[in-house]
Amino acid sequence: MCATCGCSGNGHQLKTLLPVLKPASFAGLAMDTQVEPLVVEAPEKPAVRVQTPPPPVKTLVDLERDILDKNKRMAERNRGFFEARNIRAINLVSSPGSGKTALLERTLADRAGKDRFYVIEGDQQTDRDAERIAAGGAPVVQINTGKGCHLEADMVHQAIRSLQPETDSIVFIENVGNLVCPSMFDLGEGRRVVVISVTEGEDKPIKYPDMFHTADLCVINKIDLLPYLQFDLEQLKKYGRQVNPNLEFLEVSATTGAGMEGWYAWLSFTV
Amino acid sequence: MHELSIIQSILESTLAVVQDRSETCTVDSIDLQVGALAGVELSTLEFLWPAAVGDTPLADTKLQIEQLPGKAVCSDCGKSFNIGFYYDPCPDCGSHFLNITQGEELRIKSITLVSAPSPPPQGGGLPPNLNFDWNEGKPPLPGGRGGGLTAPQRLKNQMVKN
Repeated sequence: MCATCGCSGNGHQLKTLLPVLKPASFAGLAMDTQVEPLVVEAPEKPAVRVQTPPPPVKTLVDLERDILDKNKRMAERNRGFFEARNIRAINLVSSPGSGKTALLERTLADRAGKDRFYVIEGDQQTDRDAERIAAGGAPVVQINTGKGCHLEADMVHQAIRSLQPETDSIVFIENVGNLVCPSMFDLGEGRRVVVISVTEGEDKPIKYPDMFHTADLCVINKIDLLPYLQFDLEQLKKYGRQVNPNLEFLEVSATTGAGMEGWYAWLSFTV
Repeated sequence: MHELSIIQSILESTLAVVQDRSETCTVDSIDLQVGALAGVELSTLEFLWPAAVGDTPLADTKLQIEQLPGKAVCSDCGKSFNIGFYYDPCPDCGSHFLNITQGEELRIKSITLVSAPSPPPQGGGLPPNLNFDWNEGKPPLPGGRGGGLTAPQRLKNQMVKN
């Protein structure tokens, strides 16, 4: 096969790029200047060959690996642990101040003696949430992420090793208050619950679609404040279903206890 | 700022590959595929990259990102279409029941290694430190978690037993 263009012929004509030299007699054609013969000199070979190092070799390594592969594998380990012990693990996500901790406090108080709870608290700083939960009598581990904006599966792994939750219990993982980053990090939870309060805008689901897309349930908190606000509950649900048509909704007030029975019924999901 | 966590994961995966190689090599480039729905801000990723890899063996590594558009198939009418956001409806029937077929990718497609010239020059210095430990990096990364991946170490056991 021809090495130049790949054709099947064997006599490929190479075009010369050098100027064609005319015989001297050709210069008689009203040309004043003489065409100087083109002399191509071969470069002199150096007497001693300089040994150059071989050129660096580039190697392409196909990885095709998920960037968050390590987190996903750790999350699956957590999930396997939860499933084996029939533990309902719930990842609570929301923006700061929507009432995640208040919802947990109320739940622990109302369900004392009926369910066994463990809580993993994620915050950038302080143990304040853990103290609130501990006051309710549930074993709790506080994770401080420092400047980190979300919990990752390895942190939860450490926490459950410390907590040693019992079979058939419920483990609440209260994520760092942030509607963006926690959506990307699977913790191994059985269900993801996004909490939104009616003091926030009803367009949160389309402003922060990743979080609502990955959630199983949306708990709408602080409904006792609805008479004082212009908040369109149905519009919130409409936006939520645009991002995630399978999203369920519950309306509660952790302060007054309104709607909490629905939340407790939901908590009995099958692992 | 989860983009910093993503860069840390890229670094860990890449350095693991380099350490597994028998020959000494550096990383010329890393090729990523990031989907439009992956939840990663590419400009933030590119902005953070030089600062995040500055003190690592990947300081000179090029980050090449291929953006993948979002694609979906409508679960109701079967229409295939490009999707920019999760809340985009099916252009034919308006349904939001969609099967996302592309756009959620967040992966390292490949890395290009350059094997160092051989034979190594006699007494020509040490090979690059490939046993780099991210956690040794002090001071902590700008905007990152304090002290790198030390959050589990900082995990406080505030366990209160009944």
